[in-house]
Amino acid sequence: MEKNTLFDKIWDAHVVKSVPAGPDVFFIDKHFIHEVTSPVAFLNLEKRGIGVKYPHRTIATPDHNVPTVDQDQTIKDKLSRMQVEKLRENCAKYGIELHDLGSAHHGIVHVIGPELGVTQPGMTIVCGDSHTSTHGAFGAIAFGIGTSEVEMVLATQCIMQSKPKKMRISVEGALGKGVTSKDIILYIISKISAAGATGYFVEYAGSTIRSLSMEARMTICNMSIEMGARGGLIAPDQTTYDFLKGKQYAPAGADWEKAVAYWNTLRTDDGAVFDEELTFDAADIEPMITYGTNPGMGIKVVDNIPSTEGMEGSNKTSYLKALDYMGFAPGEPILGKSVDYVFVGSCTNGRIEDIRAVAQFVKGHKKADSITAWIVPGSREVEKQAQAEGLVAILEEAGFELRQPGCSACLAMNDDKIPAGKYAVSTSNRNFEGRQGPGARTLLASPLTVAAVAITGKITDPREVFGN
Amino acid sequence: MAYDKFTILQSTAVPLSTENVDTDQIIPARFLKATEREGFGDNLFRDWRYDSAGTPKADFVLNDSTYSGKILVAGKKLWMRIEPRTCRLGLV
Repeated sequence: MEKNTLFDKIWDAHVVKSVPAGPDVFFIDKHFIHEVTSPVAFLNLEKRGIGVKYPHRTIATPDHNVPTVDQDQTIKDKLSRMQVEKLRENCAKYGIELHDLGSAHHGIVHVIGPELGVTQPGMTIVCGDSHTSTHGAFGAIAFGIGTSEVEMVLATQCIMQSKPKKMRISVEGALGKGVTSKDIILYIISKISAAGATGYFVEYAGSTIRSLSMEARMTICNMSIEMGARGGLIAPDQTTYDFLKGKQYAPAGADWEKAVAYWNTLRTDDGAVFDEELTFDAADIEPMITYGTNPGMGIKVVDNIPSTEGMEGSNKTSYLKALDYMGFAPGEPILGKSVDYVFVGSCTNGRIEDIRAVAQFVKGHKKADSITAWIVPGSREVEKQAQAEGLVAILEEAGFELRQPGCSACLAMNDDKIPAGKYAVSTSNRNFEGRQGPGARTLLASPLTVAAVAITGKITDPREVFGN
Repeated sequence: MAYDKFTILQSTAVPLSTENVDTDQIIPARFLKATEREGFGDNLFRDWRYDSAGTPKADFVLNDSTYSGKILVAGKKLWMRIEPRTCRLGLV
């Protein structure tokens, strides 16, 4: 009997038509849309006189462009306002479910999908956003698409895709204290580089991965794109089912039993072959931080920025250019560097467990005077829960500014920008030049590391500040 | 102007000898606020083409009249694979 990987099982079940020497025509179960990559897609559909094939398989929320204060008021930025209004118009016109600003389930698209129970094992999920891979944490094939493809999916509920190669990344063993799933993924990317999984779809496996909560798994799958992978997924298990049970769109009653029986088949068969297999030991993973201008330029927070020894040619030139942008020198320690901003949020680490972690550790402390600290919950639900658990009070007492849900400072599309030359330690997913604002200097880290930096005002090992 | 279908593109090439050209250089996120397809070209490589005052930077290849063309030849790791924003520029 043929041995298949989890990825194969889901992919093969969704192929509508196999084109010889061409991409497969591939069915999409759920299509998430937001205000940035959908307007032009809808405009083109209108010009071509085509409607939306399955509005009920489409779910919308405005997240990238929205302000994170005064969301009950008209958006001040004209272009942002226009994009959000376009989304509203298009959703109303085609009968698409919209979780608008102020509604109970508004939030970052990759936070609300799982919250609503829309994201389920075995599904194929796309969105006009790079970090769609987040939904892979549920054992789904989820990936980002461009606006032209958004148009294709709206029109046909299908997409043309060439099947990527398969990589399995296994992480084994127990995570050390103060080490989180964000550190796991930053560690992996630092080892294989930001292009290390180009052309592959990744399955994350191993005892460490199994031990993680759904939110922690989402953080890992979220950053699959940052190592060049098409997407990443984790096989569903009891942790997945416990998360999903009772969610608004999760199956219920007899349907639940049927669904779980199917989900239990969503595993890679023993002996199935991957094009590439990598294994990492959890004991080697410590709190990480990026120091450069792509997510692969990361080190343990206790290590020195790599020297240029062994580098030559364009490799060396581009390395030094990155360090120059960041204002760092090869070989120097990163611990102790002064920081200006911290940002807890984004589709990577903007969920309730992330906010709990930060609150737990800053309780009783005050942030450093030199730091501006933003906490942006990933959704209204997360915001509500943080309030109910008393986390908001703890964070505000510590001097953190709590804002309303949205992509916020992850990317400089809304008002939450980092000024030129300033250092921001961020729980988000990209540290490219200018990502958080022209000239902004981004360092990526886990919520614990960010919490530690907020207290000391400098790059800090969270294990030192918070002990055990 | 939407990109017309083509089978063969014949053009001179523009060399961008930088490595690790990421999506935020190709088009900074703050310019992704359009509701129409037009206008993105103005902001292609915006922060590499223009300084903060909006003056073209003389040493950037797209500002050098020696070079023109429809084909960009870049260094290793041009981040154009599947990035939604670069798809909108018709670069994928």
